[in-house]
Amino acid sequence: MSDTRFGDSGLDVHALPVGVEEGHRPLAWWGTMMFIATESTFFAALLSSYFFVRANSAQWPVGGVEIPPLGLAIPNTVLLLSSSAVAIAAERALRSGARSRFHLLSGMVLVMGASFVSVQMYEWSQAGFTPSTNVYGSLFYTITGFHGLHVVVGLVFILTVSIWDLRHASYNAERHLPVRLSFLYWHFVDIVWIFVFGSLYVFEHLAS
Amino acid sequence: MSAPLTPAEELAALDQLWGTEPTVWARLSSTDHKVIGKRYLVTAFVFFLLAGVMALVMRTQLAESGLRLLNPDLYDQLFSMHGTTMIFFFATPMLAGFGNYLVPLMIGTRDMAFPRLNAVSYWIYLSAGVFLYSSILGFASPNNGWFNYVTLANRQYSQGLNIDFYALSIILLGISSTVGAINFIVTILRMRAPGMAISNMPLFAWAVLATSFALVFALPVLTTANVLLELDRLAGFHFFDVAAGGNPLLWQHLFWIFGHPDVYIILLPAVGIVSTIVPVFSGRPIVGYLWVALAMMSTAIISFGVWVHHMFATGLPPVSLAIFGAASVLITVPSGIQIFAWLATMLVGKVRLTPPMLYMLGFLITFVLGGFTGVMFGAVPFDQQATDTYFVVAHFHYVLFGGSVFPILGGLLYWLPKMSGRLSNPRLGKWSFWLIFGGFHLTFFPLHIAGLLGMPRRVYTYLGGLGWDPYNMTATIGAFLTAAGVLVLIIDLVGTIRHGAPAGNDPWGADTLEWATTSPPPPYNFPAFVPVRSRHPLWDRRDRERLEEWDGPALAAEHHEVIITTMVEGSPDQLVVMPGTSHLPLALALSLLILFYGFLFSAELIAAVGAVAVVATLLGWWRQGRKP
Repeated sequence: MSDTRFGDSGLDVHALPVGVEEGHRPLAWWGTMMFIATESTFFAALLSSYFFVRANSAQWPVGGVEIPPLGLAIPNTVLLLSSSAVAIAAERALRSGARSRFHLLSGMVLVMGASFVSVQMYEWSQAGFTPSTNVYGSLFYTITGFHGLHVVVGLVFILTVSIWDLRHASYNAERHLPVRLSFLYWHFVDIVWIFVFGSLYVFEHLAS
Repeated sequence: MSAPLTPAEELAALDQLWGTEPTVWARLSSTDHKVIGKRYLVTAFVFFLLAGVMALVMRTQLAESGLRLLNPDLYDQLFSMHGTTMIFFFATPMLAGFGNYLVPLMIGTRDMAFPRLNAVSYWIYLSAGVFLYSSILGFASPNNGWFNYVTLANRQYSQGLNIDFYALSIILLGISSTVGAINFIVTILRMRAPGMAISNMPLFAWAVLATSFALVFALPVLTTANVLLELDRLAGFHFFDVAAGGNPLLWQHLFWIFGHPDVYIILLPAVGIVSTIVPVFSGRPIVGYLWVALAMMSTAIISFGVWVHHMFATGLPPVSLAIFGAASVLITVPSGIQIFAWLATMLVGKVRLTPPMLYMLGFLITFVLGGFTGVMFGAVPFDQQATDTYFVVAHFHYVLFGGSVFPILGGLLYWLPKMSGRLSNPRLGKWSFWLIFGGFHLTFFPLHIAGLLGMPRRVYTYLGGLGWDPYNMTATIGAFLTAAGVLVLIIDLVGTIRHGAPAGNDPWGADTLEWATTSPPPPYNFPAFVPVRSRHPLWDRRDRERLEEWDGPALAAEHHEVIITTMVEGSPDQLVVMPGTSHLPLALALSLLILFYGFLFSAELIAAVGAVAVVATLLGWWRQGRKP
């Protein structure tokens, strides 16, 4: 490393760009990533608890309750994961300056996310057990419930940036950090679902 | 742009931009990391005193066998509150206070990466403390120890609100610590002074970085444990209820997956303080900088692989005992590296025995003794013999008091001149040290023996004639000596702040950047962002000259902005405009407090009001951030 990188005349701070987003990772991006890291650990702890209790139980699910069927869960998973693809398209649209296309696509993400939550709630209503039935019920509802809560939070983020942009036209190809971070969070929520779905549904149906 | 400002005008403009009005209302909105850091330090010190008084009451009860000063229930509440307070509300936040105050100064910037989130961290910490201590009003303080094992903590066996106060306050505090840790990571990685490569940053920054990463991955597990417990207790779930298939060991696993990293979360910033102070009073750079930095990071990583050593007595298979026993011995290696680095630094340097340095030596001796007994616990058969005796109590007080309290108190004396602008009284400093050092060892050394003789911990009294009596009386005398030392320290601190002699910028002849600015520092910390190239800027001739004579462009006195640098090299990347003061952090903390009281009393209406207030505050926050 050179000692004279800035010379002794000093560095010209005024030559530095101010708050650029493209090609840089802003502070808020780093903050969001760390937030996602800590949230991922939360879900890892919940899923580890599930497998720990499962491994130490004589019968699973406890008390012979029925595992929720795959019939609804598979299409719902496809719905949620494809909403991530739509989100990517929405962000691309904004980056290329196509704002009305961005509004259309983020609206689609909202509808898809809301449908996912509705289907999940319908599935809860059809399940033959509740959180207080036994430890299996507690784990199932807690894990899917916290995931659902994160979906709702992600929806609120996307809804907020969308309404804000509709009213104030604040985002454009160069400046759209809140949109970028909301979608980043949305992708996180979707990836977590892969693990939840894989553990609570796919694994259980393969194992039974 | 208008005409260039004169240097004096520029400083006045910076003061205007970064300062806070001296009214109470304005102060509640402060986002200055130094203000927040001092609030953390004072609040955590108050919790230290409260938990210390509880310890004195307990030691009085245990002075002789069969005393009836406390009944068993009150004793349970006292040791639970003592442990919970010392671990969660004193040690971690105290070190967060040092980090808050020092990190931006040490790396040469003007604030933390997310100043308003920083204020949120503090206010939520304070709220969690108020929440926990409000339990005293109902004589319903937590009474199941600081690790709160189920099934005793289940609703069936603990009917009152005691456990709910514990679990909910820990969840609330977890939000504060997580937000704080993320803030430290981003600050340290992206806001170092131009030219300060990551391999050249102060070791204290390394320590805070390692701690913060450990927090980000450890805290969610503690939160999970407490969320599951509260779902059991408040909503009738069955995670820990054996009758419905629940598993009590799940609590122990989750708690200690957090709990052991937490030991290092407390220890690492403290050894960061030691690695800062020892070289200054040895008059030379630390020996093996890179080794020490690597040791800190590897400690943080290995600490996630040793949790089962808290559970050797739970009937796990021998293979896991062997693996975790080996890992527990392995983790002593990085600590050993650091200890040899400090010893070598002192050996080749010229040691000045100032009061802060005395505290560092007190740390070294005490911590090494605690480490010895720690290695003993790595041997599974010994652990199973000593579990739940006073030997464990003696061990972890050596590690935690030795490893954390000595560096904290020494750090207070070391940085007090910077924070207050005044010099402390070396005579009082030495008195406080010798009283605390002597008192501590008089308290806890005998408890090793009482433990080996079989005295169980967490019982409100004991039978006479079992050979435990002399050790207990000695320990009680030692506890009061320690308290006398703390009293002398408080007199010293208050006296210094009131009428100490002016300290000047750098009373110790130290090497790190916080000593390059005035004492106390101005709201903007440094007039300019000066490039540094050395690990020890103030001991490096060229860095020092540049810092003293810098009259280059003081960064944009017309904007509230800082320089962001690259993660590894510290090359200037861009300017970022920082958010200003705000009352919303306080509002957010208060809303959360309402929400958590709603949970506590299972009062839907209060919880709903709190939840709506939280959402409203966050939306207000969003709007505030978007204003032009």
